[in-house]
Amino acid sequence: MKNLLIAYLTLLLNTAFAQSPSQLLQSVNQKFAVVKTYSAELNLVFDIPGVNVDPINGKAFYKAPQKFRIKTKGIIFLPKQNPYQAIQLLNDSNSYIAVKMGDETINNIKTIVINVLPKIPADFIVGKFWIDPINKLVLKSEITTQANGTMVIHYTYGTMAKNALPDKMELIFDVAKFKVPKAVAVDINSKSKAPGSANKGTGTVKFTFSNYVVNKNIDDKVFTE
Amino acid sequence: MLVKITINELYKILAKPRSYIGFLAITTIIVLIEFALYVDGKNYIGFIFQALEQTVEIQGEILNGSLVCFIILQTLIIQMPLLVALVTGDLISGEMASGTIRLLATRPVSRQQILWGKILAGGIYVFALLFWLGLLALGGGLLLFGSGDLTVLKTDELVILREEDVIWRFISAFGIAFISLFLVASFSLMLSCFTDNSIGPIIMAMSVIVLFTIIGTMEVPIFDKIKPFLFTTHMVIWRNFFDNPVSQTMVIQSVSVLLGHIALFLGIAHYKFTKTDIQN
Amino acid sequence: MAQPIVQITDVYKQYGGFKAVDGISLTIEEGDIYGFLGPNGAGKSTTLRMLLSLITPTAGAIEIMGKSLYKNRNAILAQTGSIIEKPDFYLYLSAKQNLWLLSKMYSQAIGPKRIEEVIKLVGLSGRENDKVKTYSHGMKQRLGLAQALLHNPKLIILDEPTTGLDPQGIIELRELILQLKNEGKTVVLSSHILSEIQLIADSMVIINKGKAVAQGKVNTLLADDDVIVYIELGDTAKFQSALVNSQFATLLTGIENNTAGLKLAKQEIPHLVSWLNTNGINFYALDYKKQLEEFFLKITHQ
Repeated sequence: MKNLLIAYLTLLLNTAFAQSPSQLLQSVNQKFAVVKTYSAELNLVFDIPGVNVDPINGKAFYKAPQKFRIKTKGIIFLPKQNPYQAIQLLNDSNSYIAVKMGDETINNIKTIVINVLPKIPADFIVGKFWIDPINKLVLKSEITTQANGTMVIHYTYGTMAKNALPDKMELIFDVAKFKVPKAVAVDINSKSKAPGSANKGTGTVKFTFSNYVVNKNIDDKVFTE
Repeated sequence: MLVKITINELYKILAKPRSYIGFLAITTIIVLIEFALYVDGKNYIGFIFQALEQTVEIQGEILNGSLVCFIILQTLIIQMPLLVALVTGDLISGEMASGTIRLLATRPVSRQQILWGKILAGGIYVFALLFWLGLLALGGGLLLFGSGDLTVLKTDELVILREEDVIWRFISAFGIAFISLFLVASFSLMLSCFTDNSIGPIIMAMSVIVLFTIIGTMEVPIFDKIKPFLFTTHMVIWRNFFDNPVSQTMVIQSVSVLLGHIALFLGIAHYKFTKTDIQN
Repeated sequence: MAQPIVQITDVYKQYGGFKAVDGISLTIEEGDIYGFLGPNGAGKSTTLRMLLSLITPTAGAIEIMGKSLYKNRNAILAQTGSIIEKPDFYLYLSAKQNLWLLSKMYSQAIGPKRIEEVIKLVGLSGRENDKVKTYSHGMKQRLGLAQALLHNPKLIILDEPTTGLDPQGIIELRELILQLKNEGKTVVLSSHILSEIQLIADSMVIINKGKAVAQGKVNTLLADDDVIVYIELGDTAKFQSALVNSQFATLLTGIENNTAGLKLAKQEIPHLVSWLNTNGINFYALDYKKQLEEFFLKITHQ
């Protein structure tokens, strides 16, 4: 019995590893493509150099292929790069070359690391995906664009994994150093430490999603107003 | 009797045209600032954040009533002590100069009551000035620009204070500002007890405040030792309510210093006024 | 016998090495009009200011209405009205507003009716709503009187009250003071003009260089029959030569600018005239002054 089980698992794994990088990416894309729209409650936590801002609750909206909008009552800081740009890349398998770079374990899950390079030069320079081959989920992505530099996203999944919708997303991105002009700056002589990520020059925004509503109609106005 | 005397003093303050200079100045400055921000505020904000916006998308309305109020408070920080001293510096010396001090000092009320009537009236005047400032700055700002999170541009960082977290900070800041300006009133009133020249205490009070402020802002090691003892160093502690988190220790420390100075100035004024021979 | 309303005992006021008031003692009887007479800078105002607790004495005691001033200041001032130096008011307020403000400083209620009464009493009706800065000096003086009388005090202290008043105003003030006396009030008034005090005061004190040099009932002080006779001489040498062996030799007070002064009883003046004529001493004018007047004039011109 035990031997049968081992044989079965080996076959399964081999089947998985038997997929080409491109095919693996397509299967991930197909899984996510089931979701045409979603809205969810969102909590945002910020860690941006030179910015001291409390967490805030809001709402996230998504509409395929890559309309994504966060609505909050207050001021928030987001990377310029759309987090769904990574997934959008995977739509047309003919527009990129996928190269397997090896394996990496993330949170006890063995992932396949795949580099993606565009066939035609564009704003997108290179992408890197850490794929959970069994569940067909992206656990980490790293996208570099000309306009907005490099953004790394860590995905954590829970009950909505079946829809490839994460419970948490951690976005790490480059932040240009900025200084408040002296003429408008306030000199508050406090002892509070200036916040900022451990890596100088990079900012982090953590999204925590809850109460997903999937594939209900969302008006385009939501993404423009 | 103290209540009657205080009402008398308020009556006299309100009857003098000089007392309205403060209200007029505040109104003019606030209207100008609010108009300028209404017309050109977005460009102003854009200029400040242009470096950050190269890599970060800032979502939400930065230019709102809370920010406008904060900018106004910052701007009026120099003018307010002068506007207060203009009235309170004249409370004793003005009466000495005009001779009306004899009218008061020959009535069946103690010198103590006369002085405290003036102190209380001065305090009420300060409160009225601040209230007017708050009404125009915060009330007017919210009306014109709406509410929202407050963006505080510190020299070393940007602080975003959530909308629901802002009102208590403004109330606290105004409370501290009242203590600071009451200190100015006490100081100028104390100086007023030493002279029969109407303008002297006003100029002296402002000169001291400006001098201490300059010392406080200079990054000279020798001045660092005396800065904690200057009351102007502590007068700006209201700004700390717009930091996150608020340093309670620093606030308590500064408030104690301010209250201590007020007690000292009023104590000196009390001693001088009750012991002085009125020769005028 | 009237009770003393003011008792000043050995009061001094020293500023550094200078004694503005140098051991003054006096008593003012209730119901009197009491004159403080003295040249400018004599110490009159300083003494009056001490009565009103504007100035603290360096030493000495002051009792008013039988009570120590220092222990019962408010109770005493509730029954004392005063004008010290020129009357000063809040120029940006009207007379009525000034009086209203002052009325609030008394524990007893002083209503609009009383304010109107005193305004009428001092002759300011019709101008009470005008700002004091539009008032003439005389009008301010009247208003000063109004504020002194506002609370119907028992003791009224007036420092040089006729300053700036026209002759009609001076007469009216005099009549008012006499009226106040008839109402049983005590009025203390200071002046550097003897005739002013002479006319209405019952008692007086002459103050010079911080000291009380003469005090008492006016009638008594001025009843002194001795006078100083001034003779404007035609021949001073002849007069001096004749004087040496005459009965008037010891009475000479001095000769200045051909004017000789002799101190003698008033009834001796005809004898003096007779002597001058007998000795052939020509004179252009002969005048006399009461000793007190002479004394006061002397100290005034020093």
